[in-house]
Amino acid sequence: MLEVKNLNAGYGPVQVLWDISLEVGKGQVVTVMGPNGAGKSTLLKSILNLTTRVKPKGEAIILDGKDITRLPPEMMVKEGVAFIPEGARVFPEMSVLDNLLMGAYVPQARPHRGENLEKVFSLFPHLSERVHQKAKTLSGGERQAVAIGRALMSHPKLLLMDEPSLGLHPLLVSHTFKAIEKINRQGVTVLLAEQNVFFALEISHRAYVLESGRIILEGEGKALLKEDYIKKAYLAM
Amino acid sequence: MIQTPPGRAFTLPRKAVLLAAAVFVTLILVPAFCHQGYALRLMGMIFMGIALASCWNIMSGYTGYIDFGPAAYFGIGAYATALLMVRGGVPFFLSIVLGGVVAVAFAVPVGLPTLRLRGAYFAIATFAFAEATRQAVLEWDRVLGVNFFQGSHGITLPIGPTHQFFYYTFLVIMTVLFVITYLVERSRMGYALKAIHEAEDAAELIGVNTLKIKIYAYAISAFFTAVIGGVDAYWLTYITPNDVFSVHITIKMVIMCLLGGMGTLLGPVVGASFLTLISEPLWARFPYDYLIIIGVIIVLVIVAMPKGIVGTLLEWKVDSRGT
Repeated sequence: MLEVKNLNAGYGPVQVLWDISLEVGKGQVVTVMGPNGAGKSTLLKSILNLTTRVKPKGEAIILDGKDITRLPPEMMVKEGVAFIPEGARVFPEMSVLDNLLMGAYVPQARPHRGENLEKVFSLFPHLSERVHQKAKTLSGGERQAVAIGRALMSHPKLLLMDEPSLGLHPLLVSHTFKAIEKINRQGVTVLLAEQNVFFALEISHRAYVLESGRIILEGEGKALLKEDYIKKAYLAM
Repeated sequence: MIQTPPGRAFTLPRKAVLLAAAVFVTLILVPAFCHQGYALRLMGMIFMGIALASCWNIMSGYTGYIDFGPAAYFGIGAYATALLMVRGGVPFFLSIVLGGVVAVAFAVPVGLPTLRLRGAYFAIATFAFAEATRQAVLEWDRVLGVNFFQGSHGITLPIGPTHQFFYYTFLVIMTVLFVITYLVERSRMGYALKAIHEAEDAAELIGVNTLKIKIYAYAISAFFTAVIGGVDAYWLTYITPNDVFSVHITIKMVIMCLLGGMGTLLGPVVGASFLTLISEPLWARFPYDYLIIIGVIIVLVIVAMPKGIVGTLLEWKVDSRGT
């Protein structure tokens, strides 16, 4: 579904990513993991064209056979790519309902608005009790749920998530990953950037390990958990 | 449980519409019963204040981008109208509309780079633009050796009609702006503007073309600010760059909107009426100290009601509902 070839990107003169190539198959959950500063967020942002590209020749980002390499960020939603930024970034003064409905801003999401709203509420039942509450009054976990819900309202084919577990209570982390698994079963492909390796690999079909801006390891989700390197570096076993 | 989603065909609250219609009809009838020139002039000034504050509200109130240069468009409108009427013999109403068009022709190229700036940088850039326009109009003739803007001598317009004429003109402009604000607030564009205010990067991620939406709001604001500038020029019959490009015009717009409540439909109405109505009697009574008193009142209102009069009342209403 998504193919990234020879991506070199960074911020201004600082190059962060070096020759990144990865593939996300239709219906899969794929995780990009790695320590702080490895370039996980930069990778997701680069797919959305939010970074500076270095050496643009030879690179390509292809979604369902369509070249989306140079598409501006706000056009990505129209192609079916939704992004959940680190720290949720909800609209604080808007109600939960308005936040969710804002997710269906693009015209092609509007016909599915009712059906997607139902889906969000069945995924996060507690949100339906808080529809009229301002988003700024929510807890961190609820805010993350609103952010995921808002992304789903755009009727995406592919969901990019930047550290959904960040700053959440351990119990909520497992809830969040269960929700991601459910979303995936409903047919949405997911590309995840995560540090919480154990939870992420549990639900992932495939994973890539990113270090200092380069992919150093890739493999099947659960199989990677048994890899010595992963055990040592991430699971402290 | 779930209300009508925004953007879907909305139902107008009947009571509010009836009230607004009653106010409008009353305002139309006032000049028929009131022949006091001063009262009509004061009302006309309030309408102008509301209209100006609404212009600022549509752009800055909803997006949070503090525009510190609307005086540029006020001046452009005033000068365009004056020159068209005096030099071109163009009728008044056509002149003010053309003045608005000229302002949009400036607003789009000015907005394209400046609306990419955030926070204080946008305020500084727009302020610089307004000051630069004032200087340009002031020095144009001397530098180029022509006789066009007439620099600090200013331009004298044809003697205008009665206060009643301006009362009605500003009543119409104010009403149009009120209706536009109402429609924008409930539209897809209105939600996009609020989203830009609250989390611009997130707005972009859900597919809002943020630059385009900001340019629209900025252009609408510039158009009407210029139209009002044109009407005011005709009312004053004499304009100079230092008057119509004055930073005081900008400050007045900002304060009226802040007092009433940024990003609310009624904020500009309440803020402009309040400020004009307290200024007038205070000015008559304490001609030397009235600005100090107004300053104190503004500070007190803002301390007690940080979101403006309307904004804070709305907040209290929500709180008392217990949600």
